[in-house]
Amino acid sequence: MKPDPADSNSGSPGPPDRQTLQLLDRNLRTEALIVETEFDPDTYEPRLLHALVDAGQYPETVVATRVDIRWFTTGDFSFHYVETHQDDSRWECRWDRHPNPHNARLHFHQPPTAVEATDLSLSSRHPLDVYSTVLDAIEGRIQSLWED
Amino acid sequence: MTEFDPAPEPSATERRWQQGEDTFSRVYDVAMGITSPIPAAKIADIADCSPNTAKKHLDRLVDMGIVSVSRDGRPMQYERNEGYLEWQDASRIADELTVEEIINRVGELEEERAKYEDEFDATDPTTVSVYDDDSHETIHDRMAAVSEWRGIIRDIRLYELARQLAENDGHLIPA
Repeated sequence: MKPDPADSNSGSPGPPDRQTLQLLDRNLRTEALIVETEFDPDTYEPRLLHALVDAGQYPETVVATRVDIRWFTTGDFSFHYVETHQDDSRWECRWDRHPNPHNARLHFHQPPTAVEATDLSLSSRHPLDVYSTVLDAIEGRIQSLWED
Repeated sequence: MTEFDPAPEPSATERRWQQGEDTFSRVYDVAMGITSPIPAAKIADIADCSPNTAKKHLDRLVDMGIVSVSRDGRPMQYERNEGYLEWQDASRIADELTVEEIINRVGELEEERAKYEDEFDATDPTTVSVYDDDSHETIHDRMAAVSEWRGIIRDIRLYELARQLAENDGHLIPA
């Protein structure tokens, strides 16, 4: 038997989870916050899902925002949120789950650079609940930008 | 500015993905995101319905072939039926692409696979060490690369199934 990646840092990431990426795509397309979704490289081989966030809902200093989503058959994932600002600077963060020697398997890369990681706890790791949490957090971010 | 909260409590009782969805759709969606067998009660928890309702809908999905059930343990465990879903994906590829397009794409994927074999100096992606590196960024990059590599190997098989379907007019077995 292969070593379980949940128990150690050995093991291998699963291939992209086709069904979960398609499920997330179907659901994201019904979100008012999301204007467009796109698979990389294409719908026949979903490896990475780009979700374009509606920049019109942000103050005008923000020119573009997107979420890049990977989901692996091992239940690991990565939700990478990137804001591009008028002055070309970026504000980004990442919700991640994967084995590593530094943090809990489930962790969050803090904004604005998404470099520093802290442990994260979620009530459910089902893909639909994870994506809901991420979009709730993005709504919180938009609100705090307007309050600035 | 208030500090960014990566896991805010949902403001409504319904999670956002559940809004406007009937119970059957919620159970179906939850099942599609499940990669290892779990009992109906847990699926009911995520889908926000009663265990009996979840079980009724799951049994219907089992009849349709979309979900599989293992009856060995108590309680019974449900998971999405990968074989059926792979066949569905292959069927769509066979339907939308020509045999020539499928063969060309497999050729491109074989080249991508060869590149990964060179890059990692291995033919089996599961033997590559991914998570031990000191740099978190390196782990991310290697994880994405090895996952794509495994995806390519799997997708070559998927296209092979699609080619057979396309050549047999959508049938698995020649008429």
